Amino acid sequence: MDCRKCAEDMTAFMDGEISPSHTALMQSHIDACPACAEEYASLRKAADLVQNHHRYVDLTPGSWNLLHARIGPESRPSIFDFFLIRRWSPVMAMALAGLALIFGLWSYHRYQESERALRSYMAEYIRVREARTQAYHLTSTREGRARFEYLDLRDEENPFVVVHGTTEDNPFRK
Amino acid sequence: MDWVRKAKKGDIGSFQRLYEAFARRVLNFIFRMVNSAEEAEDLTQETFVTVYQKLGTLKENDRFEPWLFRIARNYIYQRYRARPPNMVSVEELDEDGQPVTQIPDVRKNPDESYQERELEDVVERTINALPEKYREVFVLSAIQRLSYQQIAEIVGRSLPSVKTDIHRARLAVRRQVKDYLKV
Repeated sequence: MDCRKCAEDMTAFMDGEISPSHTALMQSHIDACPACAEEYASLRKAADLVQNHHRYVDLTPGSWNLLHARIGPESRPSIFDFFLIRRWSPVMAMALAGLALIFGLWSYHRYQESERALRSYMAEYIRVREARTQAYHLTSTREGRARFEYLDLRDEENPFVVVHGTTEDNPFRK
Repeated sequence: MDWVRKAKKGDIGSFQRLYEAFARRVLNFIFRMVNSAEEAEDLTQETFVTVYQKLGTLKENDRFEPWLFRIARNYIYQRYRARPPNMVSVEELDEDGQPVTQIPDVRKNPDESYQERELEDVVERTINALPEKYREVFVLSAIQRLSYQQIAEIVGRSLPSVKTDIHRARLAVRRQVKDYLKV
């Protein structure tokens, strides 16, 4: 070890902040080098002077009581503080986004189901209406009348369809 | 760190023990930085209120000490921003890093108690004359006796950077007090 390296690490050596092997090297160099020994001694003395002659201030009596009064039950950590912890914020944000996504998908799925049901019903309605139109033109035949009555019965089941009277109910037809 | 664990659960008795164990050290750290005992006491209270409220966020209980000092440091710098403390600034150091402030020559006075008080003044002025960057690491290391790793955590800098600053601060302090080392 040279003097330059020794001088660089002297403070860390004094504070016990270097590895045991490096400490041994430093110690042997300081023991052997009068200049570094003098440097170390003066650093040590300065450190001791500061340690032994710096003023301490003391807490005023009753400081704990003052603090205790300030940290009443209202400032006690609550379970909701968990949600305000910064490191959990991304997790909470992702969880909320996930919940929003799930709710959105669920709503969309329900909407799609309604749409499918409506489309199915409308297709059936159109089919029946076309059949009725066809049957209306065939009421002169027995087969046509039977089909028309059958369709009328089907229409009665549909609350959205207004069922009008059949031609047989018309007094002017008699 | 059993007190930390219990205080986290809301045990006020354990929190009081933590306060009794650390408050004086925090107070003196803040005092060295802001140069006012009254402000230091005020900021120590603020620090411990925050500690109580945020203790649940402390991940590792055995890192309570650097965490506590980091909170205190945040309050110090908030106060710095609001109103710079009364201290010798970097601009008031001469070319060799010597403070312009005149340090009394205590060697001329034979009275020991007076000498003691004056030595305290010398040390105080020397610490106060250090640039802020060096002063905080010096106080944390030389007075609070925290490890370099803990100091690095508190000030949020790398270990080599902290080591270098402590070394420079020690050299600056020695330069200031070298005339008094044999007193």
